[in-house]
This record gives sequence, structure tokens and C-alpha cells, in this order.
Amino acid sequence: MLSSVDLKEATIKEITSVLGSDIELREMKWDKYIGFNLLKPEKITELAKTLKKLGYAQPVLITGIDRPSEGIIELVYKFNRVDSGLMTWIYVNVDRDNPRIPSITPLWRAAFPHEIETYDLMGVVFDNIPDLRHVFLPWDWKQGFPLRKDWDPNEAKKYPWWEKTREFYDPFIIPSEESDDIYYVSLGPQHPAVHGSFRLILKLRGDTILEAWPDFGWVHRGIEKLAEDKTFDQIIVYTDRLCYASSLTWNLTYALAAEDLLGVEVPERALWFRVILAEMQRIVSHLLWLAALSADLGTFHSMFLYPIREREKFLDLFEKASGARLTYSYIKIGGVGIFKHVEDVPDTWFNELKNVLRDFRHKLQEYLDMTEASESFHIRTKNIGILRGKAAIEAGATGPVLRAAGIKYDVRKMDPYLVYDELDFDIPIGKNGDVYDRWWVRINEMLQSVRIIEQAIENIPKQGPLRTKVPPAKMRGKGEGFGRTEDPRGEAIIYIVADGKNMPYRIHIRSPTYVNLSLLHYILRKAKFADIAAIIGSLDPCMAEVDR
Amino acid sequence: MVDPALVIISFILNIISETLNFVFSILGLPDWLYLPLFITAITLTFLLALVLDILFIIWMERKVIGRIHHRRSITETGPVGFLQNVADLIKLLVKEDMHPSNADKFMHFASPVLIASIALIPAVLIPYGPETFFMRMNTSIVLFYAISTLIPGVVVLAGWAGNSKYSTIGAFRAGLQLISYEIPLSLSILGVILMAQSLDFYRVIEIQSNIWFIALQPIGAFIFFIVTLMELERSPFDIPEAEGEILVGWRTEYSGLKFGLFYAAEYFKFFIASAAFTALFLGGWHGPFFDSVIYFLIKMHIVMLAMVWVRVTFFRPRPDQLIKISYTKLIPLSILNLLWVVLINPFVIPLLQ
Amino acid sequence: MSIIKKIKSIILPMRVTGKYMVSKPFTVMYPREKAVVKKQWRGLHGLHSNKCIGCGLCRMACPNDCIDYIYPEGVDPRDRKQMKLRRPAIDWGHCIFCGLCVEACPTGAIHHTQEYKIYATSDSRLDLIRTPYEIATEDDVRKIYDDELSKIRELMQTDLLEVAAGGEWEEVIKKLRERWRDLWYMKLDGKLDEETWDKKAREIEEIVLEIIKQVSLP
Repeated sequence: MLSSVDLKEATIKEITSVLGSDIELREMKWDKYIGFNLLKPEKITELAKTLKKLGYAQPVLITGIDRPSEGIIELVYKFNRVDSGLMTWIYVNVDRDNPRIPSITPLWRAAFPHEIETYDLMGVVFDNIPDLRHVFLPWDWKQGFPLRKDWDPNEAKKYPWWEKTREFYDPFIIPSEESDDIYYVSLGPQHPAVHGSFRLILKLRGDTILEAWPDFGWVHRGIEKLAEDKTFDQIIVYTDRLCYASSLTWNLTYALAAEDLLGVEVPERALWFRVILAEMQRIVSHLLWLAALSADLGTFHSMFLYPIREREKFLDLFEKASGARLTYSYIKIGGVGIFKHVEDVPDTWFNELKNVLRDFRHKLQEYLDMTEASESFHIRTKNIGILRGKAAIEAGATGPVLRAAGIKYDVRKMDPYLVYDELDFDIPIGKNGDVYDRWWVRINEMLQSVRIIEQAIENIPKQGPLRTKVPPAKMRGKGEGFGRTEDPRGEAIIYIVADGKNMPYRIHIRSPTYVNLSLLHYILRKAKFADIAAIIGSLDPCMAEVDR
Repeated sequence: MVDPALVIISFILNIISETLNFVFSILGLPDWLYLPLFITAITLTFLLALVLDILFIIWMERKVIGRIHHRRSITETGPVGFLQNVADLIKLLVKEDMHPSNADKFMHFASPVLIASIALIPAVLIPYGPETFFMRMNTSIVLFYAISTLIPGVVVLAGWAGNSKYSTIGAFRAGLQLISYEIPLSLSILGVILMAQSLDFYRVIEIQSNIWFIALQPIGAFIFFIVTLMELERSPFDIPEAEGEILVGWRTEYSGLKFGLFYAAEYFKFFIASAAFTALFLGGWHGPFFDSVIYFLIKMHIVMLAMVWVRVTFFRPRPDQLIKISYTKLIPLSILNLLWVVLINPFVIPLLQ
Repeated sequence: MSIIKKIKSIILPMRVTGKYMVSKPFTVMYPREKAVVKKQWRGLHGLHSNKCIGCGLCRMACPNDCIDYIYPEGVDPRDRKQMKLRRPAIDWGHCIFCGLCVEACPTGAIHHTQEYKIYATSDSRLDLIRTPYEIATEDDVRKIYDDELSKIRELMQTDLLEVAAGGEWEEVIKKLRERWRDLWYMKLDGKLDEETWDKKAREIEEIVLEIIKQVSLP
């Protein structure tokens, strides 16, 4: 296997030889990532082809930064290797008045959600994309692009929502003349299986799904735009609201990005404590997922309430440390903590955590008795919603969905943050990539998290500060900040661009759920109607994260 | 020993007849009216008892499910939450009556009434005690299941009348459920009939005085139990009303009193199906010291408890898997059960007499 | 083998649910049993009024713009010199209890209490805009009052001695007023009714008279 230095050199050599003068190497803030400036936007397809040939598996993030003073929109592409976690960043400038660039969706299906999102909110037109339309905004939106700097929020009031009829909300449902037994069903936005509010438009023949289109944006809040006039401290509060099931990992992702931007050092003790908290949050999130999936599969809520009960014990611990049960705002820029009068967590907290973990291991066996041992669970989860191997990578799956597909990829191992490189843990992977494997992977991840927490409790320094105080005057940064973590749902990225003020110029959030849910278009094909709940549940959707 | 239930029942009958006599003597009504009025009064008394029992059953189910969920369930209204069901009933009664636009109004109105009344009819065919029954009939088991089979038909109508895609899907799932449970149901009853050599519920219970049929044909009892769950549309076989998939299936568009009637019908069915299980496999009214309707009721409620227990334990299968389970597992098993019955019948029948 | 597995697949789940059927509930009877909140709980805000310096940092820190200031009666909000007299009022309908204002406070005046019940007494959302005194319990009121009283006692004893030695009356009265302020805020929030207010005022009057007697002033 090639080392990462060799890989970097090989990438740089190959790309410069293929694209020649159309591309230039960019000096990056981070040694571990490669950056290029692409001078001609129309060459992006060629570049993407080269990267794909080199073994880059996923375009993990595509976004735009509006710069009206220079008359350009700067597009940033981030390509990822799943075998080593190496990233290549491509910066392309397109004309602001006529932003056009070839789409790379025909090459990589994974680019699709990112590209339509960039079109939706930033107004960049991607040529050759199969289906260019608004995702979060209404499909007939003509009131400009909200993430552009000169967009006037009053424009939104001009959108004639009061004129909309029922037909407007069903743009996909055409009276079918193809055949008598084909019919369309709109599942959602309010439906128990969709865990929030998104809609699935289903084309069915009998009980079998022929095609499915996910439809998002029912409760989009524009957090990326809102964050543009909040100070770096205040944005922490918004990151809580990104996902109700795992707000702390989003705190962490943001804090990593902001610390990267502002150049803040984090004390050693805080690093270890962050690991403990993040893994606790992973367990909490997975428990909620297990509860929701079981409720969808129908045990009349007994398997719904057992995980919720265990989750409660972890939430009590969170409450004891941070003072909140759901929206912690606990991980701050520079460390962990909220109040002045509670600088440190008491020692008893760690002992309580140990007890809760011991109890949790025992309770996990109970869940296995209810699910793994029961044949009624097996027949509902095996061989449905299959997404396996290379198809999963190309479609853009990350996190447990990708690992269930048999790919050993985990940001904690590939691109270690905090102190994960000093910890000993395994990455569980599945074989078939069906609902059962996703269930299996997540159950084992909970066990691994317990292992990590136990190690971290042993290793955490007993004394020392939990937080470096950053005075407000130093909360100013210029350049880029990048935070990348393994969220319970997949790879979470927060990318900050700042221009020297105490607020970010642009902040982009990569939501793993958004990409994972756009996989539904594939994996629902040929499934039965009754499997929808199981398949959606197995992707662990958190709609707050999609409609961010 | 004297059966205490019988004393109570004869006391109630006495009260009814005395009251009627009193009314007749005051109003001077003609004699031919006596019998119909007497029957009506008895029926109403029975219905009252049934409704009280069903209130108790719903309370028990909610409490037991609450405990299984590791929570408390209803506690506030009345002693240990017993009056909560009454409060729910009142709430359903005062709700606005609604039907979707473009729905078939007549069927939307008629199907709840139809289901509730059809579900109640088989109650008269079951003998609850040696002297406590409405009628004896040579073919009561056949009639019992013939009437029960009507319900899925009305369910299909009810789902179709709601004019919603979800309720239509639910309705057709109900039809699919019918075709999957019908054959194993008949076959497992056939085992009982062969052993008892009668189509009469009364005779079937009478013959179990020494040994219950659940001991003689456990496979048959097991299949009958599962199939009863399918017939009742109870979780894990609540496929026609799977909440996580098709909202509440064929009942999606019904609210208020109409929903209340469906709900009542569900518990009538629950009551009657567990009574049938008690009669066919658990020896009906037989018990220590004396034969009484009390034993029947106790056994019936234990069967209900078991059904509630199963309800919260297993995952719901998919519709196509249900058919597969039924045709590849339950039907062969019930044929096996039949063979078993035929084999042991020569040795068992003399013992039963 | 497969039959054993099948039987297990029925018995094991039934065992789990059966176990809970006979075990005690896990839940808490909430309105009757009070929910226990932890020490760090970010509940409704309280304010140590004598610590507050009216600096405005909490308003700046708030991500939701739900903090505004109230001024005592007769104070002109435009007068920058009187700014230290203002106190934060929080719109709890908007507040998300993130704790940033508590963190920003330089003197530790604004803090979270253990209180978690938040309600409006009318249909209006404006009802949720409250000053931190409003959640003060009777005990808190008593504590603040006793605190004030002892401080007034000290103040009087030192200051009146000065007056006796030929100092200014006005200085003393001004200081007294400042000490009096917290009780005045409480009255503003309706925590003290007119009657109690009068009673407390009379008590303080008595103390003053007593001290005047002690230092034998006219």
C-alpha cells in the first residue's frame, strides 16, 4: 500500500500532466490535503475523470462562495479517497452573472445532491445534470438565490405562496396513462415513516415500487445564511439545532472548524473529554435510531421504549455535565464547558458513566434477544434495501451505510481528529449492505463506543483546564476553517470562510443525511411498499440536518 | 357445590321477570308481548355485561402494555385509571362527524355500523356455561366462522369508501390477510371437530371434561392462536392497519363515532375470538369443584392476556411474507395436526366419553 | 437444530417482555413527583441585582436578541451616566437557554436557576417577557430583603456617625436610595405588594430612627 505522501505526489503529478496549464497547485493551510486552482471551468469533467482514475472515490462536498466585489462565484470541490481519507480540493471561479459549469453527476452520482443544492441556493447552473431543479426552495421559485450576498430577504415575501393550489404540491403526479396498474403515492411530508418532514413520491405497480423521488425542503431554516451575521461564539447555538438526535457531534464539528480558522489551542484534558462526549452522543443517537427503526417495523413500541429508556440515562449524564438534555452547546471554541462556576466535571460523573456503561452492555443483550434472536426481525430486514460495495461509494454514502456496504471507511481512523489515533477500536463492516447489516453495524458501533469511552476514562488527565479562554478580540479570523468528523450518520463537514471580521463570510455544512437520503432513489427500486419504513429507518434520517 | 355464577344469573333473571310482570299488571299489556320484551331485556342485560367487560379488557390491555413498556399507562381518571376508557368514549361521541370530499357517503356511514353489528352476532353462538347459553345448534361452529368471514369483506368496502390511497391499500391488505388465514383456520378447527365428533360448541366443551384439547393437539392450538391473531388484525399481524407503513390503513379516514364503532368492533372480535379459543381448546367452563361460567371467563381473559403479550413482542411481517408463512408453514403444520388427530383418535375418543 | 432456533426465536423475546410485565415502572409521576434537575441545569434566569452593573454584555452575547433593558422610574434611558441602573429583561418566549449570557456576565449577576416551568398567564406572547425577579420565590425575596437590611444597618451606623461629625445628609440619602433599589425592582415586578412595601419601609424607618437615637442626632 502506498503511503499518503506517495499518494499525494502521484496525484499532483498525474493531474498536472493531464491538465497542464489549465491548472495550478494551490498552497494549502493543511499539509494533509492537496489543493488546485482550476483556471478553466469547462475542464472540470476532465479533471474529475482523472481523479476517478486515480482512485478518488467520492466528491464529498461541492459548494460555492459568492464574491460580488470580484464578480465571481468561487466553487469548491472536495474529492475524497475512501482507502486513505486523502482529500483533494479544487477551486474554480465562475462568472457571477452567468455562472455555468459542466456537471460531474454523469461521472459520479454522489455529486448530484451537492450540485443541485448549489444551484438551488447559489444559482450556479450545472450543464448536463440529469434533473436540475430546486430542492429546498419551491420548484417554481423565481425570487433569486438566497445564499448570494446581495440577495434581499424581502424578495422572499414576493413569492406568491397564497396562490398555490393543491396541484402545485403534486408536480410529479401525472394521471397515469401508461398502464392501469401503475399508480402514484405521495408518502409524506407527514408520515410516521419519514422521521420528520420530507416527501417520497412513489410510482408503484401493485405492491412493488418502480421508482421513488425524495423531495426535501419542507422546513428549511437557512442556518448557513443565518450564521453569516452571528459571531463565531453564537454559531455554536445554531449547530445544536442541526440535528436533534446528535447535537453534540455537530458542536464538535463546528468547534473543530472554528478552532482551525482562529488558531486556538485546545487543552489535552478537553481533547479526551470531547472524545468521551462524542462517543456518548453516538450511543445516544444510535439508541434513538434503534428505537425509531423498531417502531417502524412494528413491535407495538416495546422495542421503541427500551432504547429510549437507556438513552434517558445518558441524557441525565449530559444534563449533569452541560445543563441541558438535548441542545447542549457544550463544546465551545477552545475546549469544553459553559459556566464560570462549573469549570470542571466532578469525579463522580466518571464513576456514574462507568456504571451506566456497564448497565448498558447488559441491556444491549436484551435488545439482541428482542431483535437478533427473533425470526420476525430477520425476515423483515434481510435482503431489502441492498446497497453494496462500489455502488455505495459512487452514490455518495458515508458512515454506517457505507460500512454496512462492506467498505472499511471511518473518518476517526482515516483522518484522525482529537485523540482517536491513540485509542484502540475496530470498525465493524457489513457484507450484504441490506437493512440488517446497517442494523448490525450500528449495534456494533455502540459496543465500540463503549470500548472507546472506557479507554478514554482511563486515559483522561485527572487535572488540568478544560477550556482555553478566547477573548472576544481574538475571535476574528481570515481564511478557511475545516472540521471533519465521523457523525453518527456519516461524514460531517463544516467549512468556514472568513474575511477578518468576527463573523464568518460563508459557512457550509455537509449533512450526511442529505446525501444518504438521496440514495433512496436507488435502493427503493423493486422494494415492496411495506419495506419503505424499514429502508428509510435504516438510513437513520434526521431531517433537521437536511433542512438546515 | 353450587355454582355461584348461576345463583347470580338466576337472581338477575328473576328481577327481570318480576319487573316485567309488574309492568304488565299495571299497563295491562297483551300476553303475546311478554316473550319479545323478555328476550329484549335479557339481550340488553347481556350487552351491558359485554360492554362492561370490554371496558375492563381495554383497561387491562392498556395497563399490561404499559407495564411491558416499563411505564405506568393510564393512572389519572378514576381508580387506577379505570374510567379513562369512558372518558375516551365520551370524547369520541362528541367529536364532529366528518367524511372526506368525494368519499362514498353511504358506504362511509354504513360500514362502521355493519362491522360493529356483524362482529357482535357470533357472541350468541358460544355457550358460556353449562346452563348459560343463548342457543344450541348442531352446526354452531360452522355458522360462527361463516359470520366471522364476512368482516374482511366489509373492511374492503370501508377502506374503499374512504377515498384515500392509503386506506385502499389497507383494505386490499385486509383481503390478502383473509386469504392467508382462512385455510389454516379451517384446518385447525377441523382437528377439534374430528376429535369431538360434533359441530356443536356445546358438545365440544362437554367432551373436554377430562382432558382439554390443547393437551391433545398442541400444534392445532398453536396454529389456531396465530391464526386468531391474524383474524383480529392485532400486532404482529396488524398488516391492514400497519401504522408505520400505511398510517392506520383502512381506518385512516374515519374519526369520531365511526372510529369508535371500529374500535368497539375490534374488541367485540377480541372477546369472541378468545371465547372461541377457550371453548375449542381450553375446555370451556370445566374446572375444579364445579362447572361454571366463571372458569370460562377466567380462561378467556388469560387468552386475552397472552394475545396482548404477543402483541408487544414480535415484529410485523410484510404482506407477501404473511402469505408465505401461511402457505408454507401453517398449512403443512395444520395438515400434520390433522394426521395426528386421525392417528390418536381411536385411542382418545373412548377416554373422552 | 432449526426447530430449537425457532422455539428460541419465540421464547427469548417473550422472556424480555414478560420480565418487564412484572417489574416496576421506570417512569416518574411528573406533576406529583417533582422532576429532579441537576445543579448545572440551564433553567430560567435569575439576577443578583446588587451585582449587576448594567454593562450590556449579556445583550450582546445573546444569539437570539431576546434580552432588553428596563430602567427604574424617573431615569432617562438616554442618560449614559445612569446606565448602570438598568437591568436585563428576558423574553422567555424567544430564549433558547444556551447560557451565553451567563457566560458573558463579568460579575456573575445573571445566572441560571433550577426553575424549569415556563408559562404565560394570558394569551399574549408578551407575557413571557419577564425580568429575572419575577421567578424569585418567597425565600429569595426574604433573603434579598434581609441582606439589604443588614447592609442598610451597617451603612447607617458608619454614615450617620459621619453626619454627627458634621457630614452631609444628602450623601447618606443617596446611598440609602441605591440600597433601596432592589426592593423597588421587586415592587415593579409585583413580587411585593403595596402593603408589604409599606411595612418594609416602616421597618427600615424604625431602624434609621433607632440609629439616630443611638448617635444622638437631632
